[in-house]
Amino acid sequence: MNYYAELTDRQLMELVKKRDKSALIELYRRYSELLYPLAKKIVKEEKLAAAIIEKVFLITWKKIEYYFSGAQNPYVWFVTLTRNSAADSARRNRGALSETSEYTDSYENRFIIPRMKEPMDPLELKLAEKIAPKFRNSLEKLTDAQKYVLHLAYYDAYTLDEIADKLRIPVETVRNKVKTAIYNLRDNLLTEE
Amino acid sequence: MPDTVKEMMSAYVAGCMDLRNLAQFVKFLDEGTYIPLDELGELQNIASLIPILLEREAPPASLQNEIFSQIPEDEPVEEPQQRRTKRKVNLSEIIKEELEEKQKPSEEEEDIEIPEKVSFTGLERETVVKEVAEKLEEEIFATKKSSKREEKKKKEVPLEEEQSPHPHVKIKASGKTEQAKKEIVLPPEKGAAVPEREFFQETLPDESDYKKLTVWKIATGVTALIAVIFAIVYFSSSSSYEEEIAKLRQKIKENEITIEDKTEFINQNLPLIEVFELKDLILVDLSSTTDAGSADARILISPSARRGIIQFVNLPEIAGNESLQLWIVNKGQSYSVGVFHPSEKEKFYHLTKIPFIPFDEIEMFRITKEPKGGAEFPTGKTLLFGAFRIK
Repeated sequence: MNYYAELTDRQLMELVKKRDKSALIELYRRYSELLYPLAKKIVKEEKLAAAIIEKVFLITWKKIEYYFSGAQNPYVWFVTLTRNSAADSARRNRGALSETSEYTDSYENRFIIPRMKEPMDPLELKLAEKIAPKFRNSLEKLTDAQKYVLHLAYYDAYTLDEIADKLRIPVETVRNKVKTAIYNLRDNLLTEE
Repeated sequence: MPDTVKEMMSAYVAGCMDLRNLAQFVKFLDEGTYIPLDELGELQNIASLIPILLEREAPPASLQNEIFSQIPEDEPVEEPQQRRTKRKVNLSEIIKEELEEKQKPSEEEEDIEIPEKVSFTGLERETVVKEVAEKLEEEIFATKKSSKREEKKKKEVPLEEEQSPHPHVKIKASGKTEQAKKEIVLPPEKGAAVPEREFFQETLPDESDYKKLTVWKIATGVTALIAVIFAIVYFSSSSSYEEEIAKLRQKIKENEITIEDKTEFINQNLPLIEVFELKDLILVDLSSTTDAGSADARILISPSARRGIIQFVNLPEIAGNESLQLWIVNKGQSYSVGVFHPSEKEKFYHLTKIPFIPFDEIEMFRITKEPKGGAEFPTGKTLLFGAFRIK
């Protein structure tokens, strides 16, 4: 029996902190099949998606100090890191980022790496998988406009201004739509049986 | 909680903030101000559930190898069971173990019974040596006395065979006495200073051994001294290198912070910088009415780019359910330019939605207090106004 396979995600992240490469490999086994389609959906290209996954795991290895040391679950870390990296890549590919937004180490630290701080209590992968059907129902309950705005934001990597331009609505309306969509998702999930 | 904070948090977790706002939001997060982290964490959990609905798909099989071949192999980390068994593997423990092994008597030694008196430690050894020396001295002194007596007898009686005082020392007659005497090392008289070495010739090293020992000691001393000097030089130089490296690291860190701050400044002020790059900028000063006290505002606007900025100074307090609205007045009609809720943090507001009215037909700018979010037509009191003059 593989020793690492028996450990929780938290324990594996703690081992990664102690420079245990095998622990990161185990995390790759657990998460790559979830993260790869996410990256692919955003960047819309297989090679680029693979490069995003590579970047995510190398960032996790090199910048593990950004991962909050309170032994948090890494699910949100991996998903957000992948989403941010992929969205950044998609924006660059369509020329939506200005020349001043050069991808540097400092840029990565500020805009790509997720902030995980106390008292945040991130989800764990197993719980996320367990409540996935309920979450699907919660998402279905959103209005079409809310779903569309959320899709443009999350998967198409559009900023608020870009969404406003695309939909020809005031940016204030977009902000409000995104807020309503996210809060409704939360409230719907809480009321799901 | 204000709606704006909720909007910011939602935009953050949905990942649709532009870089300028994201930089500000991350700054708030890092400083731990304004943002309720527990609620943000909840929303982050919600947003991260979005991809859980995607169908799983394995990345290319070669990817794992490509990623992990870039990560250097560290010391293999064993499972806890192995870690326990190998826990002693460090230098100090190895040395300790070896010392313990050395201190343990070997199996052969254990079989040998060692009398208490021959423990050769401290005073006991000296006492034994002294006792032996005294006995020998007495014996030799007695021998010398008897040999003198014998000598006296020899002078009186012709010698046939001389008896040695010691049974094992035979002294031959017929003129060989002198030679025989030379072979026997006679002890000095009792009470005279006796060099100890003569008594313990068999147990103490001889002269050449002493020389060898001295040379060896000197060589060891010199080697040790060289080693100490080398160690001092090495450690002092390596510690100075370490200090140098630490200083450089510190400098790099400081530079990184400076670069980060400057990047942040540029990101925050980029729109402002862009406005100043416009060629046909016009400045409009807005003065306050009596309702606005000492407040004033400045507008910088580019007719060709239809963009600009506005800066407020000493504004009266604006209630949470109110906003300020900027209007352009043309032929008696007011057209909205923007709605603001000024705060101390924001220094400038960007004007990006300027109505398409020929600038030479603009009569004035005015700012009114309106319900939150603004109004279609001015309904509140005018707080600031300014005439528009094209140079």
